[in-house]
Amino acid sequence: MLLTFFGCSNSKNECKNEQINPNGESELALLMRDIHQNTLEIKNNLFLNDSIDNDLSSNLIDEFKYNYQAIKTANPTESNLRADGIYNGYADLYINSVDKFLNDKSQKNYNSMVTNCIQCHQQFCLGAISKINKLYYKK
Amino acid sequence: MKNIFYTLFVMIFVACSTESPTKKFGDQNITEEGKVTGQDLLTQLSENDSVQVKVEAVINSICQKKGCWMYVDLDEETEMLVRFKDYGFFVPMDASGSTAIVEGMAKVDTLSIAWLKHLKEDANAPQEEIDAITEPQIMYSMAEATGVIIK
Repeated sequence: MLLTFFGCSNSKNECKNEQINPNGESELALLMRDIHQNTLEIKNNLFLNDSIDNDLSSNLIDEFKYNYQAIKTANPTESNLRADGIYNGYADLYINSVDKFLNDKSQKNYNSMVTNCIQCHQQFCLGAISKINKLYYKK
Repeated sequence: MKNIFYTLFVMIFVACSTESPTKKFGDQNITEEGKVTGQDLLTQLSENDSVQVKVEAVINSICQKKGCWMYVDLDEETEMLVRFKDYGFFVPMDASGSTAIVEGMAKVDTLSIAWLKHLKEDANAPQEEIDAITEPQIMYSMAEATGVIIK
């Protein structure tokens, strides 16, 4: 019990991740959880916030940019994920859609970014799709 | 004095060694109170389209990629696929054979070919088994379990 206590008090993030997945998470899985969180914050700030100036903080944009660009380099759960180039194709489509969104933060571009996430997950990881679906902005 | 220390040591040792290895996943407030058996759930699902339930059942297999789904035995012939709400928590990949109490909405569901193949891939099934899936399957399912106790 003491070991668990001290283990958990070492790093809150480590402990939180252990609570989510007792088997350990890959870099890419953790990254995608962060990207999901970034995207949710973007949706809330841009479209669901009543403030007059619905813009995104530079911190959020910077973190999001860092995260989404890393989807091509972070270590995946399955080491052969990038072997046949299919994943990278989907990753490029996603990155392009994010670039487009960051240039023009419209609802259409936002939803297109979410669609690209889902298309990739339909190929590689169906389990997360119900969670990603909730990111769509619906009027 | 020596005897008192000895007695205390034995009491602590016994307390620690008899502590249940029960672990909770997802909702940390989940309890066993109100749990039903797999057979009870099958009876309820024969009378209702879906049932909000806390069911106790033995885990027969778990996703071997991440621990993101598991099959539990409702009776000797019937299993139920359990997935976890919002992909928000997973279970240990080595927990097959353990007893679990899972809470969520159970129903009869139709699993698509894509899902069935994905489940086989996650279970490290041979390619022939994956290729043999050509039809959707009707099965008992809890698609968004909110909490799991494994003991």
